[in-house]
Amino acid sequence: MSHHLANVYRRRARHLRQLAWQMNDSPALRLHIHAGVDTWHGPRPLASTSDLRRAQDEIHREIDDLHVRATRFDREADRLDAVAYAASAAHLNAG
Amino acid sequence: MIVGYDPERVEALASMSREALWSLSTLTSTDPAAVPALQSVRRMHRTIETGVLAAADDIIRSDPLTGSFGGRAATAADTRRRRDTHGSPTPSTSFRDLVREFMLHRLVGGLTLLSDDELFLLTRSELTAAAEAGRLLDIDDPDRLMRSTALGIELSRRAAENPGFASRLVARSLDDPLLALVIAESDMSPEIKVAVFAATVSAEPGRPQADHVRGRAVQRFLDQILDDPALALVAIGRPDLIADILDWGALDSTWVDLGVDNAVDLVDVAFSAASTYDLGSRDEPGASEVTARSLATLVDLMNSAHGDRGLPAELSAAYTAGLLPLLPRFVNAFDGDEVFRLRRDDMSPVGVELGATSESMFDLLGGLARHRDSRAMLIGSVAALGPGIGTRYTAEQFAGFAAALGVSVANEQREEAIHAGRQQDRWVTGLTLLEAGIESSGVIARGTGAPVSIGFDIARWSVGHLVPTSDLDLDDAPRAIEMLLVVALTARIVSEIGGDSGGNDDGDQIDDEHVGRVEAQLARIDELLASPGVDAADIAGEIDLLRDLVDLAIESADLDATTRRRVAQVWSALDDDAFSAPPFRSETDPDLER
Repeated sequence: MSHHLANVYRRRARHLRQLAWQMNDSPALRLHIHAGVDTWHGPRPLASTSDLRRAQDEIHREIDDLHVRATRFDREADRLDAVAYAASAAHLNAG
Repeated sequence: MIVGYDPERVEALASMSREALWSLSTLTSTDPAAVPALQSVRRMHRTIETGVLAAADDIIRSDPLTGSFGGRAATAADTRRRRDTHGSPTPSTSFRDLVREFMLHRLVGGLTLLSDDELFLLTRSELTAAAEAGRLLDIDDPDRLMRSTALGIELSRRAAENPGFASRLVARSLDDPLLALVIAESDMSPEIKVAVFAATVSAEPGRPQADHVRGRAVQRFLDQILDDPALALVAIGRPDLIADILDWGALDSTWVDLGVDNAVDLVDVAFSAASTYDLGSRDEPGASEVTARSLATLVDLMNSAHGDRGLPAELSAAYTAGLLPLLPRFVNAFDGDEVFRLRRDDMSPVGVELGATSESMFDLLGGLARHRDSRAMLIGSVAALGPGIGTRYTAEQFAGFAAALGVSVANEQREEAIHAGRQQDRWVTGLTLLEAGIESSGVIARGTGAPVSIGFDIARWSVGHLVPTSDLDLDDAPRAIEMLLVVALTARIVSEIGGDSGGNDDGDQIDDEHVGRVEAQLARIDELLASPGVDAADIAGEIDLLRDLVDLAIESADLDATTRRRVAQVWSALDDDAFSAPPFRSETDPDLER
């Protein structure tokens, strides 16, 4: 038997992975390809592109973090299921 | 400054940027675990919008071949001309823009034919239609965004031409959240935007549909204010707005984080902007007024019901952080004068009046110091003010400032204790003594009267050694307050007796015996405090004796290293063991008897 909270955790894990996938798929993460020196150069383009790269790095970190959280949720779901299973088995034995 | 670019590629970059913004705006989640990720998405959105896209658009606008469309983006015709000259742009990236520009042009053209009242009906009817369909308005719907952009262009034009129309916009936005959102998404002037923002956050919560749109409007305004220092300055100049942001945050628990977090950022940005403006343009008329206005806003806030309730810790820390760069200028602004005048960095008597009293300014600082982080910042900054003695302010000014700050913080603590129903605790007793000490040193100062050489080195020493910030337990608020008072007292003593002469000619010195007497007196008071049925008058008598002893100690002229250490010891003896339960009830403060 599955603990009801385990289902919640698994659903959240799926959602976080989906969000991570959507973020990774965003054109924003490939925008720097179009913002190189063959497009423009000068102090302002350089600053804009640097800011963009920093923001992209941050997004990449958050994507990784979403995966970590999703994994954690899955583990928590497994743990809850294990507890529920053990409790159920104990109940049956006692019966 | 752009020094070189490929027009074709810049156009493609602008188009890709818009596509990226669109994709980012579709990323949503209600899972709390996704909050950091979505915050980074919002930051990315801002970075693209105000960085890459803004720069690319500027190039496109200034390019004589791309031309401009109403000061915004290239028109279809302009873009066609660019194609003819430079070859075909990437169709997949420019076609959407072309259609968008065309539609926008058509929409704006249609809106110009409508009367003011008909324009106002548009937003109302859109919201009503969504409500009647039993759904929340899809704020991120591209068609709605298109309509909003077009309406924003027309509203901006009419508001710029007619101040009366601008006033109507503000008034209408109070109960039309979609109109507020359109204004938030437009290029309207900072003054109108802030006025509509203020109206939006002051509106009472209504139906879910309206609250949903209002929430997004507020978010949009806040995002822009955080990005635009000019807008932030207009916002910070409205104390009612700051107060409303806090209130607004309290309306609905789901908005609390949003409201407070953004208010913190708002304050941070506003003060940064004010400081930059103020410090960067010393000779520019009105520069100090910007800072003064920000300060006046805070003073009003702290003296409002919000201040009485206590600010959220994060907001208090943000205010404090904003104030710290100004702290050196507070020292000579406070001269015992009732009116608070913010001066330049020198000792000029000329200053900008805030319309606030010195007392209210110290109430502000004391109120901020209720929170641990704010307290830490304030005390650490006071300790760092030492080097300014003699160059930016006199030791006496410094002493006065530190003492007033200490007493102000103490008063706040006392008020808090009263409100918390704790009556009087040992800290209040301790502070009563410390205030007595300060007062007595003031008497000495007035009695001496003669010009004295200021012992800068000793004053600095007192700051650096009596308040070693690394050793301060800032969770222990009263201890921190005491430290402030000790600094003040020591600096005042030093300023009166001079630091290098070895003091007065009487040869009275703080010796071991004297320190022993002071400590014995402290123990005596402690004993009385611990006795059941203690008579307050008896304790007051003992405190008088203690004060005499302290007077004698601080009259001592020879502040060599040993003596200084002993002064510190005497004062630190006030901390841990001298005052303990049962509470000492003062006869002079009826509030404490409640």
